[in-house]
Amino acid sequence: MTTKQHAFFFDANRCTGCRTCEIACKVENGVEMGPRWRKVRTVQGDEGGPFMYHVSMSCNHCEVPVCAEACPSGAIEKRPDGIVVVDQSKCIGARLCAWACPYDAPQFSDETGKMEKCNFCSHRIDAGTGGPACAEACPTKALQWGQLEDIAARDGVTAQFGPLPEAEITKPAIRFIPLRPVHS
Amino acid sequence: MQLRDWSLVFFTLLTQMAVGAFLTLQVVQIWLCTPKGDVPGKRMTVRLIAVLASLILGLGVALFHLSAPLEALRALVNLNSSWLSREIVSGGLFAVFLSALTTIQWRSKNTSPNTKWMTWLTGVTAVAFLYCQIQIYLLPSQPSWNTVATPTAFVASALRLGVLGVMVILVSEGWTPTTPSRHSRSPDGYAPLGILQGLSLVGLVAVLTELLILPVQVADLARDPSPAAASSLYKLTYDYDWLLGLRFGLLFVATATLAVMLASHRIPSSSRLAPKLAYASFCIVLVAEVCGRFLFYATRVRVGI
Repeated sequence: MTTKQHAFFFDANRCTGCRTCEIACKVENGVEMGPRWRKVRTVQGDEGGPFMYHVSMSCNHCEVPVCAEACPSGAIEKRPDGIVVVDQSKCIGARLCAWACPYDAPQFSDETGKMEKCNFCSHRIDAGTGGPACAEACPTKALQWGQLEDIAARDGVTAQFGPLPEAEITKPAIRFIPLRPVHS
Repeated sequence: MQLRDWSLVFFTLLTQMAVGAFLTLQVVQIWLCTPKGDVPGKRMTVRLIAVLASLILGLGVALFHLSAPLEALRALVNLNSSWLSREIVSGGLFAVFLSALTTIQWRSKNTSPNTKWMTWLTGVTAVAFLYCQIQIYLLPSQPSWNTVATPTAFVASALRLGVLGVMVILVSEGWTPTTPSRHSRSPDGYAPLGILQGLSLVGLVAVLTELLILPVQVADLARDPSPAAASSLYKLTYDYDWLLGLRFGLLFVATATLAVMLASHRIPSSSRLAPKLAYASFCIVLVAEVCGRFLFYATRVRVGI
């Protein structure tokens, strides 16, 4: 398996909003109260008929990590396998990364005074014991992980999705299957 | 807006005032230029110390924004891509060069050969510092910041606070508005022809500039199709309409005060009135700037969900 760029896959048609991914992330990484490395949000509206769906988002380990570019202390770096990680020993809590990120991924911890975010469960990947806990815990397979190249080759996937920011800003390593209309 | 973001309000305003005041002082010095050179060294030293105090205070306040202020030097690491690193380096160099210039000015009493190139060096770093400060906020993820209104507002703030700050320094030295004539004299014996009026005029234009920035900012936000831009616009015009109103009220009062200052040489008691008008203008504009910078940070809304 190549290790060019780890990525997420999200199918909006399968997500029930159960938040198992959020809980799995918290438990696996011991994330304290407050910061949420992964968030499930609900989108609803009535343009073109009423609709409602959920979106599970974390750090997208972007190909252009603007958080790392903005960080003055060099605390954020992109690993060779594409995972973007925070070295908390270098973080000074300037929070520029949080301003720069369009996905609200870097979270400030009041407990440590440092920024933290999804690390793609790199400890599991490095140890060869599995992938991100969120994706592996998803009961409907709405959230999956893999190599960006493989995920992007799946049928019907898009880089741009619903209310998310322009993908061109950071080229996020996530692909989506948007909600299919169920009404005529 | 979080409490620690207030440090950024005062950091940006104090340092922008330092940049504006330094550049204004150089223009004033050219204006005051006499056949022998410029204003006496001691007086200029005091003015530069005032600018340096504003800069150092601003840089010091910025530390409160960090959760680890004692590790602030780490912020210099990422010069390759981080505008914050570049801002801190250029701000630090501005402080170092300004200190050196102040020392040279203090020691030499009058113009020394080193003064000219050190003044240029300081001026260039001051402009670079302001440029880096602007770039930090031009983020595609923050529609309310990522508009032409941000650089315009920062430059205009530097101009407003700098010009009015210098005006305050001059009136505290004993300058008074004088009818332009060859017989007018400053406390040093050099011709100050219309200098306070000139500063009043520039300050007036800089205050009025703000009235143009808001429509530009509102138009930019209205054109942006993202919900974040609409949220920022809503915050600016509904949630904080009272603060926006207060800011504009203060700027209108400052406009009136500066207009009186501009014409004060025609008033018989101008020597007594001018310092009061200068101090009032500066204080009013300073409060208006604090309101404006608070709005800048408080109306920020990130794109996405």
